[in-house]
Amino acid sequence: MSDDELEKLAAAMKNISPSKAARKSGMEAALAAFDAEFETETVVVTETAEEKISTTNQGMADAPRPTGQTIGTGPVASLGRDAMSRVKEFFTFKPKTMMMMGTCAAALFATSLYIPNTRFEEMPKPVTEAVTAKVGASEVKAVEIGEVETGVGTDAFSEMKQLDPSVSGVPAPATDPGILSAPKRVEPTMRTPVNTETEGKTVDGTERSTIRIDNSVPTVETTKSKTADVDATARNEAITAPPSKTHSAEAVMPERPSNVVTIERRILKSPARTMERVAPAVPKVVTRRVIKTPASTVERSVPAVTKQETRRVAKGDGTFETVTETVLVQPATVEYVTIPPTYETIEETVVVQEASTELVTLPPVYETVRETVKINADGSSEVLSSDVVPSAKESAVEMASVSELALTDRTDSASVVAEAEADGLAKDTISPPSYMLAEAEADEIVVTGAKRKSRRATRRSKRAEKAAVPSFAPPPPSVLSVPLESKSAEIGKLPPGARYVERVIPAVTKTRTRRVVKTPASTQERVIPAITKDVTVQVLTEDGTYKDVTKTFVIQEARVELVTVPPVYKTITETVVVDEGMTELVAIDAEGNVIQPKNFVKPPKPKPRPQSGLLTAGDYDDVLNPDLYKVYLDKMLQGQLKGKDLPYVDASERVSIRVVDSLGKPVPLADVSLKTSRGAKMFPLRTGADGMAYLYPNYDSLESGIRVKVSAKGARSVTKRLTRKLIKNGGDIVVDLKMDSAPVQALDLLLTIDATGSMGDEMRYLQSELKAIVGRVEKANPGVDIRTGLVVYRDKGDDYVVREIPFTDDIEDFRASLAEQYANGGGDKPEAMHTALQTGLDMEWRKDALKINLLVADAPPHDRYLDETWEAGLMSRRKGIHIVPLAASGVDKTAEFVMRAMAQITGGRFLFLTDDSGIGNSHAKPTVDCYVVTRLDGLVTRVLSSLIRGERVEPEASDIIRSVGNYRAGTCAIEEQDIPSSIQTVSYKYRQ
Amino acid sequence: MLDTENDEALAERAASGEAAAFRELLTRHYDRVFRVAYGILQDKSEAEDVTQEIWAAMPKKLRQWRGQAKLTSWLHRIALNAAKDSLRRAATRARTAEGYAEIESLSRAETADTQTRLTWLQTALGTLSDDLRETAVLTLSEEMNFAQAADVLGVAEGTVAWRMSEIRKRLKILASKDDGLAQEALA
Repeated sequence: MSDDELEKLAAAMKNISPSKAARKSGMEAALAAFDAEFETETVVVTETAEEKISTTNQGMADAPRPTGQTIGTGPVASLGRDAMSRVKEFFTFKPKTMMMMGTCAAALFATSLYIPNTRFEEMPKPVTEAVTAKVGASEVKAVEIGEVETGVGTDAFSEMKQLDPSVSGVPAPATDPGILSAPKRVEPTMRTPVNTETEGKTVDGTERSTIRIDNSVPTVETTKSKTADVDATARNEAITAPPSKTHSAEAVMPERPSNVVTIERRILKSPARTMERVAPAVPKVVTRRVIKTPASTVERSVPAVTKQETRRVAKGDGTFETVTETVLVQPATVEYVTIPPTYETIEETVVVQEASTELVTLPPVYETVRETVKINADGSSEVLSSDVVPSAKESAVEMASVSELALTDRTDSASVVAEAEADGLAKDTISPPSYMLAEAEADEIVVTGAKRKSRRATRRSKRAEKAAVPSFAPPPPSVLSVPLESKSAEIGKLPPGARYVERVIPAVTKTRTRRVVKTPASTQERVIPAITKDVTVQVLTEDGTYKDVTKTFVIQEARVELVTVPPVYKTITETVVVDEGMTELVAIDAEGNVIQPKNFVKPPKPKPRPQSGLLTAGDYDDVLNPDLYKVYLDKMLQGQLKGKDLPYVDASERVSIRVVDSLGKPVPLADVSLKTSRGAKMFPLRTGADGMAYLYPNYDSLESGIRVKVSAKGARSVTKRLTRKLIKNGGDIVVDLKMDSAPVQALDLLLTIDATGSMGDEMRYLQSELKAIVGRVEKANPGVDIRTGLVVYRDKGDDYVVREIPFTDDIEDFRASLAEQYANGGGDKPEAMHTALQTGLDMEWRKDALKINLLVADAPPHDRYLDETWEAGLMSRRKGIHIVPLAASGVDKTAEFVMRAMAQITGGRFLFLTDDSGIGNSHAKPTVDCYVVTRLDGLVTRVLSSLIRGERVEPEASDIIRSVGNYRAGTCAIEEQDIPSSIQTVSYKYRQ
Repeated sequence: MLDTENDEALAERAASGEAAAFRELLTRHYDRVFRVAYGILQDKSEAEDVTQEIWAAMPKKLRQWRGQAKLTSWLHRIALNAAKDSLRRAATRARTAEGYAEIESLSRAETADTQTRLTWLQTALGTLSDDLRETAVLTLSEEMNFAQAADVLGVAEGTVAWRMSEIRKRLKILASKDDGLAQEALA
């Protein structure tokens, strides 16, 4: 059903009204109800007043009750209303009240924060810092406790536990600071005697001592190990807790063989990791000459040349008379004078080396652990204590390695820049003025006949074209075989035998080199073997002798390290045009000598025939960058587009539904339907070729319990429920279908083109590009049955608003239809985009085909039709039509916003023309974070192929003309600091 | 003054007992409520009754109105719910009698053209399910955008979009099958 028909239907619906009588009686009834409703209230209020006056009479038995007063109801109702109104008034927003309340709340909050802080300040220092244990071999040991508090036992316990690893198996003390901070303080400083019993040597050579702490400190049995003299320092370490600042202990041990050894081992604290380092693009400023004002012709009148002639004329009477006559020597003519073109030198920034992301490996961080190990006679061992050895050296090394990396980075960049500058000096020299150079080499083409053409010129033209295309310059002027002989009479007067010829001045080109990434940086794994150490100790055996026992310790475990392989660059050479080519007319004589080299030029030449590959464009994938899309929304909705009621979805918290088959391959075109927990149907979706469909929790009014049913041809459907967590945080749902999925086999490609006058510059070029693109897509995706359709649109008041060409599989038909279109009309900037999209929706799309709508436009829809445009986007989403907008010349921010919103919701991609080609009007710079510029035909081919295959197709490095930002396979990495601080991340309310 | 005041301000004043404000609201929106009711009920007299009931209850309801939504959205929601309730009640009645009453009312249409359109419209809307019909009423008759309709219906905007495409599809099928009535109605 068309829009017109629907409008008529809507008009019919709007015309329906109740009968006059019904309306009248309905209104009267309503008014009566209103009176009744508010009459009651008025009476009640009056009665309340009366009540106040007649209070004294209330208790009198014979006093008449005021008329109309209902028993109890009136005052109660009134009181309720009054109370309610007061409550309402209280909660009504009043700035002053709110400020006061806010201040109070803030004060209370600060106080609540302040109290615990004070409490912590008053807390005694942790016991670990206050305890000093002096342990003598056989003397009374004292524990100096700076501050002992009741209830501090838990802490003391933990201290003891650190002191002696044998204290285990006791439940770990609570470490809640709230509990620790609570104890009642007894004594600020107290010295507690400790009774220590020295026990006899045990079989394994350890010495046992018992430390008893009275009252508050629970009795703890401490086992101290006497170390062998393997390592003098280790002995002390073995009996002390971590040496940092917890304890200092002194032990005097008798020297004798021991089976206790101290081993230092390196333990991995944090594994090696890689991080991305961005090598920025290296720009270079180059200059080139472009025509500022093209050569033109000025008409100049050449006055007639006369001369006075005196002659004698015989009279009839035989006499002579002298007559003076003015004789025309040369009649008046019109001459065309050539004003040569003016040039200007423009500066451009080109990327000599594209930005790239490299991976650098940060080395793993180790910590050294000193362990005291007891080796038993049977070769087994047990760890008695374990301390972390602080190593300033290690951290210094780590820092040094990071600094080294940074230094390398700088050096690398610096060398690249230096190289680029050197390139610039060597190769960026501008040639002498091409006009002069070209003249010397100019080819001459005789244009006396329409069909004759210089072979040499053709060859040169082809060569020029070949050279120009890779550099994306305008095509060299083609040699036009126009019958200029006939025109020559109009242009000027030539001597006999002379004729005009068109002279081609070829473009001046130069070669330029730049570096592109050939192989990106990567990481490789390297296995570092374990380091072991054999330790031999003497162990006292049961028979009283010592025997040597050798134990192998792993000092450092085997590990895998990541090694970064730097990227490989290659230098590519391009040919660029520094001076554009042109043609001019010269007159030559019979011998071929130029007789009037400068005074005649051909009238303005027609625009060059459009050639595929001349337009350049970039793209941005908002679906792939949902968080950055949110940043873009923030920027726009708080900035340039603030206050505009524009449609959008916030994709940063989306729920992604990924449908895969038995082998984990994506299932294209699967049906996804949603039902609420109450069974109400929501909207259906379709997966793209990548098997993905997206839901936006707020926008789609998602609630927990919603059932997502996924079905596809040849598989049993699977239903999943949305959970509250998923809706709140976003995330993925993976749906496995028991099937073997097939790739996309059919494509319906609709081209929706704005054909208004503002598109005139690009229209012809686009026609040419699109013709080529369809051919390329067919070639790139063999076996895919492609149908193409066309919708061209203008605006109300033009020749037509929308014109459609139904889908066809005959590409020639389509090409012919497309070629018939031309740009015209328009006027005010916004166009009838909404009607075009709606028309596109109504076309006959195949159910089993992938659907793409390539929307080429340079203007947004009218503000009043924004809703309709967005709604067409929503319906496209529902039908599984990917909208791929292509922003043409001069697209404004509103148009970009609407286009990107539609691409986002339909899983499309936003494309935009760039100025790199120099064709058409200046193209607006998009508000995107990163992109690469390539030829438009290549870009569209890649985007369509990506959508067909369900995976990104990236350009070859040699196809990239320019790179902006940190582009990496469609994703952009931007740092937090790159986001303007004035932008706030907010949740916007969806419009209504 | 009253006629330029926005709906929400009028509603607030009506809620505080100002009869003139209520009268203005009545004048502005009586037919709107009727259209919604008719769209759902497809019965003129039934819709008139429901409209009258809604407006008679309005003074009380206005007290509950907190101004958190647009008044028209609120009215639409009330009208929609009331009409759906009425439809459920009417389901027990004999269909034939309803049809007869409707034909009677249609016969009173002012012009033949209107009558044709109304007949087709009723047929068209009759083919739609309740969900689709109420969506059609809001978006077509009340010219609401999808977001507004979604708000009134309490569904997602995407759901309205889907329903609208369903409506278009079904009406298109209906128009193609029609024996000229649609062409005449939509000419």
